[in-house]
Amino acid sequence: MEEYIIEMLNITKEFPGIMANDDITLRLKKGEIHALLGENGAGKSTLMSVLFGLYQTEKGEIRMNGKAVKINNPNDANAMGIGMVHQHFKLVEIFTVLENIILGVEPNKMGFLQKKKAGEKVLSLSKKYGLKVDPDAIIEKISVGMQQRVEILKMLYRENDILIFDEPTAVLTPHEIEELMEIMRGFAKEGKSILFITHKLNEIMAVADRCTVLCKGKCKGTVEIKNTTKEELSRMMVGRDVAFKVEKKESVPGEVILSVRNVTVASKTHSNNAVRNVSFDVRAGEIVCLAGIDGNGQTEFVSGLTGLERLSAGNITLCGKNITRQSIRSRSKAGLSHIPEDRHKHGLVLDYTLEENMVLQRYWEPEFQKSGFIKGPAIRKYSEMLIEQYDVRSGQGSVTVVRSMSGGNQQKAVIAREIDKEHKLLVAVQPTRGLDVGAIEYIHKQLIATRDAGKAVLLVSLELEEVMNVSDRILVMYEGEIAGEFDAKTTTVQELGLYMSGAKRNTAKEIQNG
Amino acid sequence: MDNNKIPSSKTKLKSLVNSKGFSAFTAALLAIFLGLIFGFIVMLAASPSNSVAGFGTVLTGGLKRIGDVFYFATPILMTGLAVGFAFKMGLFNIGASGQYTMGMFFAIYAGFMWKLPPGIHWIVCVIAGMTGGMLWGFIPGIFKALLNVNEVITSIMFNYIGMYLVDMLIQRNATMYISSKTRTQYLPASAQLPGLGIPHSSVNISFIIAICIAAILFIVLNKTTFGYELKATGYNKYAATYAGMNGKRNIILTMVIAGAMAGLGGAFNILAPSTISGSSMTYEPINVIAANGFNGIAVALLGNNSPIGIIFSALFISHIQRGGTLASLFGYKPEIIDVVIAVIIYFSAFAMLMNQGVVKFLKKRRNRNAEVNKIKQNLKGEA
Repeated sequence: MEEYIIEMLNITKEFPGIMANDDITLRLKKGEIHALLGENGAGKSTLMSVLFGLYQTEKGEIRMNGKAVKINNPNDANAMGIGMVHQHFKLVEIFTVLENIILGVEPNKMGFLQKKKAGEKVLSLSKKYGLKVDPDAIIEKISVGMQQRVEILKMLYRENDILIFDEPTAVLTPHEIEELMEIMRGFAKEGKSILFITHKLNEIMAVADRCTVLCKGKCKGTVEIKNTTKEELSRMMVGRDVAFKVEKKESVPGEVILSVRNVTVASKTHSNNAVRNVSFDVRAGEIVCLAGIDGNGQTEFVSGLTGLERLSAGNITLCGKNITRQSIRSRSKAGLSHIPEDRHKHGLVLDYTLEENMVLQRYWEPEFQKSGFIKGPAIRKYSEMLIEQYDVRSGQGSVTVVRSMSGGNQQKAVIAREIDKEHKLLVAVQPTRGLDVGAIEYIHKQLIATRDAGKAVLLVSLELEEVMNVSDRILVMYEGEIAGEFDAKTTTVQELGLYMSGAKRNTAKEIQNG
Repeated sequence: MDNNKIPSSKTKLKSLVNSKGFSAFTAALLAIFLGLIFGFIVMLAASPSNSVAGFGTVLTGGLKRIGDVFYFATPILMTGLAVGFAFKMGLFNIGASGQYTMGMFFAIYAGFMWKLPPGIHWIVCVIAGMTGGMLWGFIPGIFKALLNVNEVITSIMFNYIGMYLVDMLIQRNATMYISSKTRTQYLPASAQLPGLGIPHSSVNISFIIAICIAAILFIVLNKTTFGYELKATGYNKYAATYAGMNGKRNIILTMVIAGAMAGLGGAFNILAPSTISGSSMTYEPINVIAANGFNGIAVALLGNNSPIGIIFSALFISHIQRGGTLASLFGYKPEIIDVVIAVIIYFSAFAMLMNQGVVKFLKKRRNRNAEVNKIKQNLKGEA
C-alpha cells in the first residue's frame, strides 16, 4: 500500500506571461486532512482545476496510489473517486435533498426512478457520519449548513474517497463550523483523504494534519501542523507579517446621524416579513456592525435603508431629516453613501470605463456637467485623482473598461467613489467579500479612517473576524430582528455565535434598556 | 498601468483593432458579404444565365441612381435611429412602424388641412409628423414605466392600432382621400419638402436633416448626462437604480425620442416632392403595416445601434434596394428581387450575432492576456 493516495508532482501551469503554478508538489496521504493555504491568486484554484482535469499541465504529473494517471476532464476525476464541495453550492433549489443527492446517478429500473432504494442508502450514510438531513426537505427551505451537508452527502453517495472542501466555513456559524470539523475528522478516521482549501488559520490549526502553503504560484512548502504556529503560516502565505488586529483608536461617538425606528420590510421570496420591527441608532464617529448569518434580513434591511426597496412600516431619519419616503437620489444628497453587497449587480456599470464609474453617483453635480452636457476633462481629472489617492490599479487607467479589472480593484473603485463623495453615513455591505488579505486590510483601514473623520459607519458583515476587529458596536440580526446588541471590546465570538444561530435572543425591550 | 505606457504605432493599431467600434464594423462587413453571397445564389437558382449581370446591377445599380438611394435611405435612416436609440437603453422598440405611420398621418393632415405660407408650411408639417410619432412612442413608454408592461407587446399592438386608425381617418376625410383611386390627394406644393435639385429623383432636404439628427443623437448619447444615464440603464439597470437615476422618466423620454425619430421618417417620406410636377407622394390606406418600420430594425442592427453606424447601414440597404429594382431589367421577377434583397438584409441583421462571434473570436486570445494582466496586477499589489 502506498503512503500517498494522490501525488501532484512538480505541477507547472503557465498562462502566457505568468506562472500560475510553478513547480508545485502536493502529496495527499490516505486518511489525512491536508490544508491548502494561500491568498487569492496564489494558484489554489488552478491547482485544483488541474486535479479536476479542467486544465492540462505543461510539466509535472499526477499519481494515484503511486501510478501515473491522466485526468482529462471532470468525469475522469469523478471516476477516480475525487469529489468536491464547491464554495457556492451546486444544488437545485426546488428539488428535495434526496433528489439533489442522486442527481446524475439516479438509480433506476427500466427508466423508472428507484427513490426508495436511494433514500435508504442516503439515510444509512447520514447516520453513519452524523450528517443530519431530512431527505424530503426542499433545498431552498433548509439552512445553509444543512445544504452543505447535502453537498457532502453527494460525495459520499458517489463513494468518493478524496474529498475537496473549497472554503467550506465561509457561510457557517461558529457552532456549525465546529460540527463540520468533527465530521471531517470522522472522514479521516474512515480512511478518506481530505483537501481543505481555506485562508482561515484558526481552522487549519484546529483540524488539519498537514498544510501546504502557496504564494504567488510557488509552493512555499508543506508543514506538519503540530510543529508550526499561526504566525509562521501567515508569514509563509503573505511573505510578511500581517496585523491580525486592526489598529484603531477608541471611538468617540458624536451626535446621532442615522436613526432607524420600527423598520419592517416585506420579503420577496416568502410571505413573512424579511425585516421585522428593527430600531437602532448610529452616531457620528462610530462603526456599528450588523452581524448575522446570511439570509437573516440584512440584505432587505439595507435595501430599505438605501431606498432600493420600500419599507412596509417604520421610519428612517438621517441627520434629523426624515428620509423614509425619499428617492435614492435625495437620500444620496442627504449624505448617504452605499458600498453595495453585489458590486457587479449594483455597484458598477461593468461596460463603462473606470472614469465613468467614478462619477456614477455624482455625474449630475455642477462640477461634472453644465446644462446637461458632461464635462469630460473634469471627470478625467477627478478620476485620476481618485485612482491616485486610493491606489486603484487597472490596465489603462481612467479609460479601462471596468469589466477587465480585478475584483479587488473594482471594489477599491467603488470604495473610493463612495468615501470621496460628501457623506455623513457610510453603509458598507460585505465590503471585503471575495478579496485577499492585503485588500481586506486596506479596506478595513479605509473604514476606520472614515469613522475617524467623524462619519457614521454602518457595516454589514458575515465574517465574524471582521465584525470583531473593525466595529465599535455590534448588532446581531436573526430572522429579521435584532437579537442582541454588544460592545465589540467586551463580547466574544462564542457569545455572538449563540445569538447569530438563534440559540439566545434578547427581546427588543431588553436591548433598549441595555 | 505602466505596461501600457509605451506609445508605438503597434499599440495604436492594436487599440484600434481592439476597439468596440472596429469589431462592430468588421462584423457588419462580414454579414454583408455573406448576405451578398446568398443573394447571388438565389439569383443563380432563379435564372443562371443572367445571374452575373443581374447581380452586378444589384451591386452597382444604386450608383446610377444616387439621388434615389439618398431619398429611400432617409425614412429607414430615421426608423433605424428610432430602433437603435431605444436599444441603447435596453428597450426593443418594435413599434417603429406604428410611429412612422402616425408621423406620416400627422404630417399630411397638417399638409391638407392647414393653410400656411410656403416656406413655413412644410416645416410645420414636419413638426406635426414628429409629434405624431412622439405620441405613439409615449404610450408604450408610459405602459413600460408605470405598469411594467413589456414594450415589445405594446408597441406591436400599437403598430396595428396606428395603421387601422390612420387608414380609417384618411378614408373618411374627403379633403385628403380620393376613393376612386384608393389613394390620398396630391399634397399642396407648400407642404412639400424643398428638393436638392438632383434630376429624376425625389431627394430633398430631409436627407440632410436626417444626417444632422443622427449627429445630434450621437452627441446626446455620448456627451450629455441624459445619454450617460440612458446607456448606464441599458448596460445595467440595477446599477442605474442604485445610482439614483430616474428610470421611469428615462424610459418615457427614450420612447418619446424614438417615436419622434420614426414619426419624422414617416413625415419625410410622404412630404417628399415628386419628380413629376404638379403631383406628390401619396398614401394608399390598404391596411398594410409600413415596411419601413421593420426595415429600421435591420438598419439599426447592421449599424450596431450607433447613430453614425445607422447612417451608413441605411445608405447601404437603400443602395441594394435600388440596385435590386434595376435588376428587373434582366428579366428577374420583382418577387425574386425582393427575395434577394430580403436575404441580404436578413443576413445583414445577423451583424449583431456575428459581432458577438467576432468579438469572442478576437477576445479569446485577449482574454487570456487580460487574465494574465489581472494576476500580474494582483502580484504587484501584494509586492
